[in-house]
Amino acid sequence: MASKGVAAVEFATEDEVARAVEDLSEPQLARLLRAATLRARALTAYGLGTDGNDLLQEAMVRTLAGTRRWKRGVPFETHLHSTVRSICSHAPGELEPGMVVATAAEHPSAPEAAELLAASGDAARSLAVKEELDEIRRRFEGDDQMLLLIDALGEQMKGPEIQQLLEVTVTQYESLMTRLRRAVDRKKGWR
Amino acid sequence: MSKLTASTRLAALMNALADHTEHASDADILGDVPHGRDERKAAATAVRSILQGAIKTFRSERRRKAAEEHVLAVGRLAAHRAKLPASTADRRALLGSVVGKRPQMPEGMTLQFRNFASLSDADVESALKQLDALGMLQDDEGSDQDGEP
Repeated sequence: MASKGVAAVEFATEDEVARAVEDLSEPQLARLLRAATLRARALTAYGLGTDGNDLLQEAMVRTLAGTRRWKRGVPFETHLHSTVRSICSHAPGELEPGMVVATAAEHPSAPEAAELLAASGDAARSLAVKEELDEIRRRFEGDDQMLLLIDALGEQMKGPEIQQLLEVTVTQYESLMTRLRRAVDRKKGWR
Repeated sequence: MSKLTASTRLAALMNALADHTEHASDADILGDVPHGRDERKAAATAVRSILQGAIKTFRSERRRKAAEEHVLAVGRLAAHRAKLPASTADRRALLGSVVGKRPQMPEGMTLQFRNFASLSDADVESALKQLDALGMLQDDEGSDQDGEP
């Protein structure tokens, strides 16, 4: 009885979800789509055709259906980001082969699974993915620090480790990440 | 030379940038958009529409499923052939007996059947069929056999 009461208080209702969507600000909506689009790009690298819109829609469906409920007290934007991450990394069994993604902090085993699936992917896709990586690198030709950052992120290194490698402060690292993010974000067709 | 495939490296890069995006400030994220205020507003409206569309789809899907369930339930009720007394007087008596013996019957149902005089023969038959589908007629027969008052 007590647990039922707690559950009722703990999770938002469907109407509250609808109101929370209304209340999302322009920057919040922009942030949600950008992050989801980048995660969709990660999935596409494994051969799954999806986009940021699809992921956000799926996050909403899971929230409403109760498979990923929104806990009161958690900002709704945070909940949606975390649900999109969950879709990409927590349930490989529910997804198409290759839709396993390495959000390394959450799932240390994910990179290995992703590696296996990626290895079984077709050669054409691998070539296309390699071309994408090369294209990103070409944008920063001559900028050794940025190229090193791209390689380090691709090697699944984390912030502090990369800062040490690049010999930069946290602020400088953040600034490099913002530059890289904007460059990748503005690539045609990735929005 | 990396041991990781290009797919894994690209995915890791994109996920790292997504993580970074999640923590970007409002000013930073709006600075990413090389457009004017109207375009930003239109982009935000488009994302909101996607989220609202998901709510709408979810709700209409639920309504559709509920309607399907209702049709199935009505079908089951119609298919159920109750063994009712042949005469209308006996049917009325049976309904009175069932309702009278069941104070625990749902309130709405009890109210519905309280004034038997106002019920048509068809209403009585329909009510008995509903009770039979709920298994309440069999229970009633069982109670009689057990010698309950």
